[in-house]
Amino acid sequence: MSDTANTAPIGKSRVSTFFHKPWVVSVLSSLVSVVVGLLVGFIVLVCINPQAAPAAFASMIKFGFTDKNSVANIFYSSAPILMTGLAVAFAFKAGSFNIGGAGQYMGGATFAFVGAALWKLPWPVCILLALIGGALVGCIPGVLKAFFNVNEVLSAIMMNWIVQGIFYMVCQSNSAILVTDGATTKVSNINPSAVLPTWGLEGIDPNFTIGFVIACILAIIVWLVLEKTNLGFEIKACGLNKDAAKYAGINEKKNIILAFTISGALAGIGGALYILMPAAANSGLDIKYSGIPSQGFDGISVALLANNNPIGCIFSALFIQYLTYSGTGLGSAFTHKIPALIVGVIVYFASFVAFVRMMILRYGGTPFWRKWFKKKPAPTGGTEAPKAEPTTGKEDVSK
Amino acid sequence: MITLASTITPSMIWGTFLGLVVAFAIPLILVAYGGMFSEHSGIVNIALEGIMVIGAMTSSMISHQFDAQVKAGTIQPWLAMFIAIIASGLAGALFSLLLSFASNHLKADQTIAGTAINIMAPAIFLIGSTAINDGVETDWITLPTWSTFSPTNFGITGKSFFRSFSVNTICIETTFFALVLIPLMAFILYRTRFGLRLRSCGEHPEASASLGLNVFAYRYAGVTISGFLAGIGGTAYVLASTSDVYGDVAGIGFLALAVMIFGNWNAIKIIGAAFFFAFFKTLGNMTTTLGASDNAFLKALVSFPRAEIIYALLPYIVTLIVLIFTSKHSQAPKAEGTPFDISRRS
Repeated sequence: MSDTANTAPIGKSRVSTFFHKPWVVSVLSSLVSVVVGLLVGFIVLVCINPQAAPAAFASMIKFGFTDKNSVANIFYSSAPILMTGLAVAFAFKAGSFNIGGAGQYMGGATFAFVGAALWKLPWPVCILLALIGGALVGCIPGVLKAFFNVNEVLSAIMMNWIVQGIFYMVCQSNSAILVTDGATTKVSNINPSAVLPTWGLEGIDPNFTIGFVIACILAIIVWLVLEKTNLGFEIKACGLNKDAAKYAGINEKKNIILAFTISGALAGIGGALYILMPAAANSGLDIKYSGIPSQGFDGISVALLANNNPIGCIFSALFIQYLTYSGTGLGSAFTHKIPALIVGVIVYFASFVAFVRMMILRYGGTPFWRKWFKKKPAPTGGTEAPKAEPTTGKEDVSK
Repeated sequence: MITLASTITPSMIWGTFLGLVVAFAIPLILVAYGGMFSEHSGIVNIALEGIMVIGAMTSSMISHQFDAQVKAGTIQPWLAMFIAIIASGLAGALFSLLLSFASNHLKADQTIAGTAINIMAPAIFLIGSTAINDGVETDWITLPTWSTFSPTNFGITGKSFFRSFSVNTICIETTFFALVLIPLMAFILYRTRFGLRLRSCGEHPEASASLGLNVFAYRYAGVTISGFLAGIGGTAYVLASTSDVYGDVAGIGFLALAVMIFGNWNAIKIIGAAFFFAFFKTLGNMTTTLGASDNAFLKALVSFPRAEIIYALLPYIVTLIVLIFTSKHSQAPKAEGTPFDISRRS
């Protein structure tokens, strides 16, 4: 995997070598997606209203930085989607697509909520409960995949709806935690000891809890587990080629279940980080049976934009939260859902990250004018085909 | 959504119930057929949900404009709806090109490209709904009153089983589309040269390519047909369920995928699976109505606590259980999800 770093042939310029480093390629391809996404968003704005578009776009970009409270808001609100992003990224490393982030998030939130509101537990215990809840929901698609070959995308989607229904039933049967018909009561109203502490961050913003810090620490732990432990190696090996991993003596069934369980636990913690925020920062949980919390699906965008790198997830979660937050900055002339479109376009471009990487590898470091004026095509870096590290693992698994 | 006349006879409840089952099964079948075409050509189409939203948006925008601008609806509601439904199919087909382009030419991960399309669709819907409401930010589009018909248009009057049945079936124009499209699509897939070749591209594209087929063209065709069907399915769903169209179709696209897998990628079994889902979903939706009725059997069906939520969950739980028993012998197209690379040896 790391040998891609040394694929630049001898005698190439230093610039070219730089452009062949895997992390540079990853960051560049993510940036390309971001730029294209923003460009499409701008074009849509121009199509709607050519006069007001540039000003509105500029104010949208600036909106996240208006004052320190909005910056703080972006930070603390990004903690839940950072966790669901980590969940998706972890499952991707294991070669599976975890679309069940919403259900696992909901499972964690339910456990944390019951722990905080009914059993009056303090916040660390609630987070542990959420971990268990998310893991329970997450392990089911993994078990079904490992033992019964059930398509994990489908079973995860089914789990989303089932968990949402169960949460609905839990709330309906406890009038104590239900304020209105639409949402649960807030944890801070019932049990202030379960609200996440601020530990000095309240100087920046009263809602700035340590949720974001916890999420960042977990991101680093996930990175360490994936890169520096046997467990992470086995999980990645299964993701890259299940059959080869099995041949090498790795128990691939155990690893699939484990990957889904850990992934679910991460998403579950995300649910707790949301539900345990101070009252002003969370709006209770929506218990409409028809809707599924959007944070679970935002996690997919976060993971894809970060190229499934846990550390990268921190930045992409911040960026996606920033975009979502900036929607209100567009002003009255435009619909505030333009950021959702931009995120969609970014994910769409991130989906063919392999292609973008190929283009970067082929043309990166070679000034474009040289390509135009040369008779022969420039000898591109890595004539031995530096195959980009597969993001999903799926590309590499041949039948 | 479910309104019954003040004096209700059991036969009318049965009529409404069965009518709703059919009305719910039709979009499921159409969209599942869409998924079937796409997957038989080798591309996993998880974007069905988003394509449905785009279809629903197109038909509601067009019928809204017909109502507001040219008053076509009051003169020729059949023709106006016909145009709107065809347009929704075409919009779905166009939108699905995003998926086929990414997965054919850019070798993208199809699940991710599909997810991206699902993220984009509601945002596009909001842009459309805001535009149609004169730039005021609105997240719904109101369907004109003539978008569904009244049984009296067909000469069906009185309080009978058939009348209440027809409200949710033949009064919705997409039902007629479904009656034509469902057999036609099954015929195309299993009894034509095109269908055979399409299926071969999903099973072993390298072999198909070695026989001179253009695999990319067949995959484009499969996904485009899938988009067409999903677009019409989106219209069928909103016509049957609501008069204010919002930018989501309540997971019907994903449900249709489940129906397709439950039906083992087979055109006949998909119909059965769709009715199975529709039956329980309708039971969940109608629990209050059924509980208030005089019929002892119908009352008994729903007279346990949280019946509405349990019936609504049942299809998902049963699907999971059924998948456990059937997935080992799944007849999924072998090459689905893998980008076709002509230079690869397999």
